[in-house]
Amino acid sequence: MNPDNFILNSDYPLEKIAGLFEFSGTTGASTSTMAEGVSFQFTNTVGVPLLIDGQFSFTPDFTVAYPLMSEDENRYFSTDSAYTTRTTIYISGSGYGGARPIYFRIWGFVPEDTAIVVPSTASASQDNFVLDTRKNYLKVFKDGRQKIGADESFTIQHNLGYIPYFKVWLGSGSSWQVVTYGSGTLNYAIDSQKLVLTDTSGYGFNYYYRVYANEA
Amino acid sequence: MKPSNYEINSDYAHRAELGSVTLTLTIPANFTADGVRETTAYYNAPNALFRFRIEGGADPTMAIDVPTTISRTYSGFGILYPVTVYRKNVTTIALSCRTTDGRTVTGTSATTLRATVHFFESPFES
Repeated sequence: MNPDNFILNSDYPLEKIAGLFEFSGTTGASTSTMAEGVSFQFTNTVGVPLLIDGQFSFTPDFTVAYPLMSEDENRYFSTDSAYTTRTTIYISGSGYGGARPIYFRIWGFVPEDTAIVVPSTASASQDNFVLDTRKNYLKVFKDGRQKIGADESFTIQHNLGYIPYFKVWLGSGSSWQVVTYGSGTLNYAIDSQKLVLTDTSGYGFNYYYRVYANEA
Repeated sequence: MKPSNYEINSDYAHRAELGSVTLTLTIPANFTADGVRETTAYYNAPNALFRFRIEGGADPTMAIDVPTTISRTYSGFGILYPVTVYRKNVTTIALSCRTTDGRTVTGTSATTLRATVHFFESPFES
């Protein structure tokens, strides 16, 4: 059995989107060509610290869209951090070249080991529910929390035989922050057998990792 | 409802994957200040969301789904480059690499980056 194929199996839970958010703001008021720090705070209506991901755009239709942790090719905006608490979604970054509208689309997952109850009314229930056997879905293969000490590494053995998709967040449960490679806290490397997480902060943090059965 | 248990529940969206494309981008040996190199590909899933993995540079086994900086100290460049995948329009995906902060880059060899991009259904109104 290849878990990368379409499958409904309790060993590989389908990833569940428990929250969807759309926000807008302005990158900054300055017309200076220098970088200007800008931060956004939005209400987390789900009431649970979610494992978030998302995109940003400079138009409301998202015709041109960038990953949440990104900078656009013109460097109008560069994301420094994004995290959620039970009540708030925080996004901070740098704006360049003056004020311009910016739009965010955020989706959130819930840690599999959480004891928090997510209200179904706050979920993505407005979307039609479809499972199509001709298509594939994100399936959680391994996930968990891990404290990684200063400059230490932690290896997650998956033995899938191919390089799987994965995500990592920083936090201890009351908040979760999106982790990016080379951002100063964590580096990671993955091959067909294992994912290696290495702390580069010099302090050590708690992380939540999720390795999917889907090929990267 | 506790979504951490395995279940089929229409309260929580499960997004289908719609296909994938591969992008290959060669960064020249002498990549000048604030230069941008990008390559694009068509995909037949308008406004789909995407996840991606980039290989190349100093970490050929690195799989990422977020923009990163790839150190290419091994090739003599010795500085960091922002690399990302973004949606250029509704049916075009791009892999781009740019220099930063006006620094002039000189190097001794070209480097090839490869991105595998998977598309999946957007739960947002388009």
